[in-house]
Amino acid sequence: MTTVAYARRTTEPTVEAAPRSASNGWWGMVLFVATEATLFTVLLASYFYIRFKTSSGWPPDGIADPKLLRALVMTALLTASGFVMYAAETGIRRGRQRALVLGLGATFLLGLAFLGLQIWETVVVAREFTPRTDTYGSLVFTITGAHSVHLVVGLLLLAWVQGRAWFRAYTAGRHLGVQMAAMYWYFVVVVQVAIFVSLYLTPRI
Amino acid sequence: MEAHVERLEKVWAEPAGIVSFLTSVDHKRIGIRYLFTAFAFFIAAGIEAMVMRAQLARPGERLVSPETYDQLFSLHGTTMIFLFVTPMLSGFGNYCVPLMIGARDMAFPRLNALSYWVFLSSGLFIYASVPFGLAPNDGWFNYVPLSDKVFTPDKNIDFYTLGLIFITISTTAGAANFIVTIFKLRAPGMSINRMPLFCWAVLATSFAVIFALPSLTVANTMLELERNWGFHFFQPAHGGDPLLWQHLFWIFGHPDVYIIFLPAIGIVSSVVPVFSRRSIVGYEWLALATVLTGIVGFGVWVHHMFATGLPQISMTFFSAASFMIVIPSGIQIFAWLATMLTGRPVLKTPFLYVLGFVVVFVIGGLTGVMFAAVPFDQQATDSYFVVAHFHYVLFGGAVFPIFAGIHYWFPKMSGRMYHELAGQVSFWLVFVGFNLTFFPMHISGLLGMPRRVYTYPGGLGWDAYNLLSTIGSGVLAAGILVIALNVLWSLRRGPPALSDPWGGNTLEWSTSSPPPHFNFPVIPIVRSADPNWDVEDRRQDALRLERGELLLADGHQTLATTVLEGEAEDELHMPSESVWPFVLALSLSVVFFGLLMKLYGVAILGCILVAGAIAGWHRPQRELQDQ
Amino acid sequence: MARPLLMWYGFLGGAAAWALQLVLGYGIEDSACSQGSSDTKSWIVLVTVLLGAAALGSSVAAFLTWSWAERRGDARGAVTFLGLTGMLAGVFFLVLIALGGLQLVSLDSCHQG
Repeated sequence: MTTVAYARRTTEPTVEAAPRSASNGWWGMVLFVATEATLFTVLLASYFYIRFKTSSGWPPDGIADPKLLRALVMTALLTASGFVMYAAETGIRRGRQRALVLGLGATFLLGLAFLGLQIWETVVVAREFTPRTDTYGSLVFTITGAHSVHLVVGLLLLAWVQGRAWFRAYTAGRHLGVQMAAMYWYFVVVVQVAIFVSLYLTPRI
Repeated sequence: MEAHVERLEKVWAEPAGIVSFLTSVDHKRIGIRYLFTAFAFFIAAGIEAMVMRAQLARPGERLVSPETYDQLFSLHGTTMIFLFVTPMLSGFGNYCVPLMIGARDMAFPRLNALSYWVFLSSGLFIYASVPFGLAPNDGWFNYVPLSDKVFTPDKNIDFYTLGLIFITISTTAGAANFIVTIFKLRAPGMSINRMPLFCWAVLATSFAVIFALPSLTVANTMLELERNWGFHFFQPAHGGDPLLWQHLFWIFGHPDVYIIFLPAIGIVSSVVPVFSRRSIVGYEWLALATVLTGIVGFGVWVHHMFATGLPQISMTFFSAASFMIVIPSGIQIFAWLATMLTGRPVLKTPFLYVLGFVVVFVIGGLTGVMFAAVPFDQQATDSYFVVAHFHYVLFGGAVFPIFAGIHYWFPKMSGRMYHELAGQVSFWLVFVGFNLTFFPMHISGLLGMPRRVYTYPGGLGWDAYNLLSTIGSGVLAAGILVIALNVLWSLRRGPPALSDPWGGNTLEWSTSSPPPHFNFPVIPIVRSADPNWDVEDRRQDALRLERGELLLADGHQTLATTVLEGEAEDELHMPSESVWPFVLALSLSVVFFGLLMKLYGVAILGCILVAGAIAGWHRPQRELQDQ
Repeated sequence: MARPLLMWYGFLGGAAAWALQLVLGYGIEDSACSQGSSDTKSWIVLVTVLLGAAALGSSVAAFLTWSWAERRGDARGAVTFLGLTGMLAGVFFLVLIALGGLQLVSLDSCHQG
């Protein structure tokens, strides 16, 4: 079988054992976040689709504009947790085990506080309208509900990584689990910001 | 040298028996399982089609009731798309991609096993509806309001929505696995422009899966909530819009046809150079066309909605994109033809099926371009003309390449040769049978026959065409039967195959037929896009085996390389057998069963089992890298 | 940092520009028509021209990437490959964007198709 050469040739490539670029696990989490981010993009697009098709007001008659204060506090808490998570990640990158454990713990607590507020918010809002009231209700509850589910998964991930951190599983050079959990957590934070802007801020424009 | 190989064999050995069957993570075993399971669903969907054709052979036939007919066409479409073509091509991907890139397994071997078990579970989930007469019955795209509770009160649609959400887990996991494998596990020297076109196809497909499937999941979730929990998304009386379903479905649904088409043309790009005995013409053009098709495929979805009363100005975006998407496909056809015409073709079965693909797909593409024009679409949509169109592009574009792939890789997978004459007979039966079945539908469609009708009155000029189609379906079925018999017979009695019976240009042909569990004794070093034709490089591999270089025999190991240039970076440790993928798939089945039966306690129990399975899966193991 | 950015803009910029034109253009038109107005022409012109320029820019970026690779030497041809394909892709998406804007010439209402 003769070779019909196409691409250029080179000298023998060398094999180095020091990893330089992103690892398999990192890529795996990136792709998972990409697909879940698409899910939320589609949900929010559906929200705006229905909204721009609705010629009467938005929110529809009988439903007040979403109250800002609690949602703002929630979003601020979660955003803060994002920064705390970043500090924890930076900490382990420099080999600081305590920073990691404390940071993970604080992130977890902030996330838990968010969840508590979210539940309170849901209960309060449900007095005014429910998913069964109309499409607005269905969309709002589905979007925030989907976010809460993702947040709970994030809390479980944080707990797992926290547990491993207690047993000193991570070092400055090897902490892929922390990176992956952090990436997922940032995603959860960003989605909340997008939800806050879309569902709470834009109806007031 | 023998000592090195022995060491690898010991490390990678998998015991025989049921435990190994349930715990294997070997991509080759999983790939073959995908192929057999998907083919079984193909037969099921084919039988559904045969019953439909029997029902339509004559006007006023009473073989099946309208209700049964609805289930037949819905299940046929759903099965073919979700349970046959996509998994079948996943099977080829699973088997071939690691071999083609010179790796020892996929990037996430246990996730790979999970993808298979979830596929099997979700397929069984959907088909569990059949004995109860509750198969999905509102078409494979399941439009509201027909699929709303008020018009389809029974569980038919819940089997559909939950079953598809279930299988999405498998497909998405598989896509992530392929992307990371192709990005990171290629052999040293295999830069992105030297990677086989089949891998480009799987890469583009996998990205399409990542971005398209969520839309289907959102749609199905919304429908489930609307049907069973009193939510409102698609009901105008409650501020909703039935077109929202159509948008969400087709934002997934159109990319889905490219998710089907792209790996299939990857098979074509594999077969053409080998059977033309020359390097592929226009590698860059083919790679680019693959990527462009995958991307532009996301921008044409509204062409499935041209008859829904949308504003003219918005439809033009999608009409324009629907015309333009033909261009990359056209370029590919010309590249393959140029390769064949400037090469020295070998007319064996795989090549015949590729020729069949070219003819049938091009015809389908021509009618597709017709549909890109809004005025024509509005006349011909939902008629048998569109049924003809999509069978020409789907069968031509995917099934012919699948049949080519079956014959092409059969020797590699089984270590035996199939019967060539039987292969050729199967091709002619399939080709003639296919055209006899589907060509007349163009005519009956233009004569006004609507799709999805369980019968039709005589005297409208449709009778002869329907009868021809039914006869054709028999011929087609015979051809498929020959393929199945050929495979089964040759598995037992076929003559032993060489490691490289075809003179292949890609790396899977450089190892034995079938390959050892560890694929390659040493990781190959690649210096061109046709590595198996670089005889000197393959000789160097053998020399490195003697020296024990790039042996990577300290456990299940393979090499990680950089994304663009394919520079070797790291030696990875891969997981070996694990029961957790199987357990996780079972746990997920419990969840979906609970949701289907509205036994929410069961669903919650299932979620706990899922969490437990994930925890067990990630229990830290000493020999693995921090994954 | 600039080189990889230029290279990826060259390869994917055209696709991103077209995707943005589609989403913005369709979104603007669909919502405007649902609300009863059909005054979208100026928006579509703006979107088409800006994003068409972005697609053209991606071809230029791809060309620059390719010529840089040629000068510097590209052992395995990966960067050259991205440059060449990026140039073609940029032009392809420019045509696609232009076709999408073609409606401005002949259609200008929310008339149902």
